[in-house]
Amino acid sequence: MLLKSKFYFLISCLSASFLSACSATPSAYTPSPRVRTHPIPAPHVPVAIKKRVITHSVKRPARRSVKPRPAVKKYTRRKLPAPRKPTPVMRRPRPVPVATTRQHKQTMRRPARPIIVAIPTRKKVIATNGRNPYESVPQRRNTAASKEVLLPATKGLLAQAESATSRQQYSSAISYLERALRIEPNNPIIWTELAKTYYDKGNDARTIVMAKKSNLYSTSGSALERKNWSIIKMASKRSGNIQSLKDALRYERNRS
Amino acid sequence: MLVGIVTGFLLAAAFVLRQDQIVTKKFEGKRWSLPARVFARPLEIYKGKILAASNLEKELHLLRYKKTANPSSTGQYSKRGNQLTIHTRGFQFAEDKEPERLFTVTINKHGRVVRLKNTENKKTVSLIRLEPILIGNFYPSHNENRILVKLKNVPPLLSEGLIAVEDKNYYNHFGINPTSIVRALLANVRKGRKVQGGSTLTQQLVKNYFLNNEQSYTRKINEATMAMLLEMHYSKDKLLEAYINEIYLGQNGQRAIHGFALASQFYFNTPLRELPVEQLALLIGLAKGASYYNPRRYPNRAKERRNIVLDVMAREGVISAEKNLVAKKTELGVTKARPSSASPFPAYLELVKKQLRRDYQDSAVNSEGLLIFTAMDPIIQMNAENAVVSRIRKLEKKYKIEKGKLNGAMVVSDVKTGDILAIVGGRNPRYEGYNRALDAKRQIGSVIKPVVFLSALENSPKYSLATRISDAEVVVKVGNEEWKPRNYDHNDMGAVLFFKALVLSRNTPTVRIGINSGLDHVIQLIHSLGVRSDIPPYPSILLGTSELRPIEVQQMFQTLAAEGTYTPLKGIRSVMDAYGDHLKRYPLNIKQVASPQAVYQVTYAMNEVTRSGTAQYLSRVLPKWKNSAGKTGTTNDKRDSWYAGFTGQHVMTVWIGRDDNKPTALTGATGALLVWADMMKRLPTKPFKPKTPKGVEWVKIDEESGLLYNSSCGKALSLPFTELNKPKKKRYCAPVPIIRSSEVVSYPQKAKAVLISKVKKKHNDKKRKSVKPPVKPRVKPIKPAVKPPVKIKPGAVRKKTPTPPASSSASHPVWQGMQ
Repeated sequence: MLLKSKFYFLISCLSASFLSACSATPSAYTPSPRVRTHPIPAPHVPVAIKKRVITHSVKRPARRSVKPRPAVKKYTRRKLPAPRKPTPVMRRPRPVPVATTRQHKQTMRRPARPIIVAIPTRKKVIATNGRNPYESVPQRRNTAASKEVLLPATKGLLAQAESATSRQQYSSAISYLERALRIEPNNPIIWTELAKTYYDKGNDARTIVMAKKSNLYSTSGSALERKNWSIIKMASKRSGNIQSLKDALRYERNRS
Repeated sequence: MLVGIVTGFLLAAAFVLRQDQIVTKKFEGKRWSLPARVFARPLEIYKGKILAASNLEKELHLLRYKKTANPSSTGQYSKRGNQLTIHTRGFQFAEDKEPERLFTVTINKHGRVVRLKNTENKKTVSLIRLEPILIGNFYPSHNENRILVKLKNVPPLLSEGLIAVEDKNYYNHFGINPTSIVRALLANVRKGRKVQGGSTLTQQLVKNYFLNNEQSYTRKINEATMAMLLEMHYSKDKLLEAYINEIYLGQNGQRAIHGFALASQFYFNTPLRELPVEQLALLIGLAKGASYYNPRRYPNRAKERRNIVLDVMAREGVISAEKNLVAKKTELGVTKARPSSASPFPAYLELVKKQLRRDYQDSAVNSEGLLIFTAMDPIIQMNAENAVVSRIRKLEKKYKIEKGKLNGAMVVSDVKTGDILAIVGGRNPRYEGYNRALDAKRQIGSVIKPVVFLSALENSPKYSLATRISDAEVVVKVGNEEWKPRNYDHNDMGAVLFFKALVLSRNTPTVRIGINSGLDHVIQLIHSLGVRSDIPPYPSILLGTSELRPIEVQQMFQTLAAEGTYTPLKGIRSVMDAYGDHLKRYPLNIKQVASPQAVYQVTYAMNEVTRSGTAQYLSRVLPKWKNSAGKTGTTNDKRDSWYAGFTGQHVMTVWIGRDDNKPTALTGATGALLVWADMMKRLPTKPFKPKTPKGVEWVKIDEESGLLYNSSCGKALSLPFTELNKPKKKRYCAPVPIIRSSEVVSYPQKAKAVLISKVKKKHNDKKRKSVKPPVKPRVKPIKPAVKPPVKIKPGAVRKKTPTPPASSSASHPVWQGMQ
């Protein structure tokens, strides 16, 4: 096994014209962000593929070392480099098997390269010098609203509302939800529940209003936002509200 | 003879049948006319709630809880440090029943509930509702008052005592008790006068219920027949229940006190269930003659009667002999002042009545015993009353206004739900009378301005918060007439940024903006924000000459505070009938009427009003976290002083002025704003901190030119913009021209859109040619500019302008527009 892999390694080295990269211990400081090192041995995969991949991986570090990347760049581990020429042979095996040579083992073992965590860019990057007055308001201990979690008190009320809905007592459910809303008026979860209840009750106009209100408070791109739009879509389909349906479809299109 | 007997028999039968009809009809049908009862919101306690311990105690006091060392029965509480242990009474709400509970609540020094535990099993409770406070009744026309109780909720001592004292054989007779009648008769004959009555409880009920008080044999016969008929139709328990609810037990002014439950409130200010033996005995004694034994007027007689009742109860084995001895030694315990039958919160009740009239007929409101659950917060209500009354007194003193002439109104509501939490209708909040918050139509002044600015931001993309607007005089042609609005301080600041015009409450820029973006749009927007009153289509409404009620102003600001969603203000949450069903709910009803992006931009400017504008007093007196947004308003000659504003949780509108509409010497900032601030100091609330809606971004602009900030010159300022209206050009580093000119604005009557004739179209475009001297107006002004085109820097206006500022405004260092 070991012999076999060494053999592969040699072949790959030969095939590579840049011999410099083929030394047994590659520099720890010339990493390739794109190298995928999968230590799973898979001997049945055609040699040609391995060759290519390794060549590729060997080539890159050299280039990188010449031109260091800017420090702030998103680094994602999972993404595989898209092959330049997508031949069917190339595409088939997804986890590209890489020979577990010593070299690669070392690559795996080398000290973790600092990964720049992708910090969501703040919206008002330009406004650093000026001020957004609401930011300067001292943060009071926030109710769970912003994190889209419920207080225990509201959780109980939502459970009661749900059981009322299951008994088809919609107006009773709505008054439970409104009680919850008085406790946490900015919690999008409650607004979504209201929208759902109004949908079950058959009041589409209110469903849409409530779901839109929930969207005002939910973080953009969240699961809750998707849920709201799907509620809006259903309600506007049922009631024939074309404008809302368009909005919902636009949202879906933009997301995909 | 036979015929006589037959006819007599038939007549008797007909008589009995008729009586039977009357009895059943009356007993089955609407048995009592019950007053409608109006409740405040129930206080909900949960972990994390902002609730000062003092406010909780105040609430308990209003609910007539007693403070004891160890709360053992319902309606009691104890306080140890920051811990309160409360034994609630429980309440049947519309949806569900809140059981009676014993729990301990811990409140930290910041006034936040940190722990909520069941006292018995030490388990954490997530949510507890106290009973709602009764804030008033709507009485039937014949002034009966009554609180209905079911027999199972009556303390057993009361029913047993009643039977022991009034009718020992109650459960054995058939409506009348012949033996006791005979005994009574004999006793009366022996003594020669009436010493004993032989009537049963049923007979007494009939007497109270169907007949008048005349003493005659026909009445006696009627009474006996009806009593027997009642017994035939209904069970003993049902009749006893009717007795307990029907019997006359006192008189409160015009209103008769019927039934034990109400009598308990009337004499002891405590619910019936919580009365001790001796007090129950007093009430039982009163059944014999409520006015003769009136404990407030004849305490000795009443005490004597009570002790007789106690003796009888002990003799019949209802209470033990020891208990009897103890009870006899106690005082009567009757509260000194009889509770006022008028509500302590008449202003709020009027609101409730108005809302009810939309859905119910008057008779239903007054006599069917509706239970009306409102959103009123008694703590906020009392604070609001206090804020208005005390500040009005101070203002009268300070400005030497004739005593008693200044008046005010205030409305407080919840931002998200539209619940009206408090209403102050005048300076005498305890007296029913003219409710200024609901009925006074007054000019609103600059309070209208946010709507004008909102309309411009919504309807024309050429306006943004950073657009430069001329502050110079403006002439508006209405048909053949001319309207020449001026700034409050009669100054011209040159050009001001759009948002500064609102922050400093400038008049002429507002008129320009309003007319340029379309007067009809403004009017339409005012209506869609929730104002029902008619707004005449004159350009002067842009400066608030239209007359609105405080509640309408409140509605407008409510919509602004709720990101442009209109939620109708409401006082009633739900209505329940006396039997606990047929419910009418008033659910949350919302409608998006203005674009959230535009509202966000306007509320930013309104927030700036409280930081650096006409209401910057707030930033001095309120803690920094109580961030809010609002707008002051003053009308001509300072007749009305307005302030309307909101935090993240509450919307409040305050009006101050005189009923005779005379000048008050108060501006919005020196009158209503102070009341608002006084209230806000006490109100636990959440700060105004809107979430930036999608489609709005903050851009750093140049403070002077309103263009994008150029780091080599000028001052930077961040403002919210939408994609459409954000400035595209960077400031060119050269002096910015001062726009100064008088303009003619023609406003042809009946025409919808109005044009400012030949105004400089885009101030932004001029910036580059800024080296040129100030541009001449292209149209010959009707009234040539009074002032020479002096370059005036904002901030130095007072010194340089030829016209001196009005003397009154000089005393206030704030920029004073027409505020």
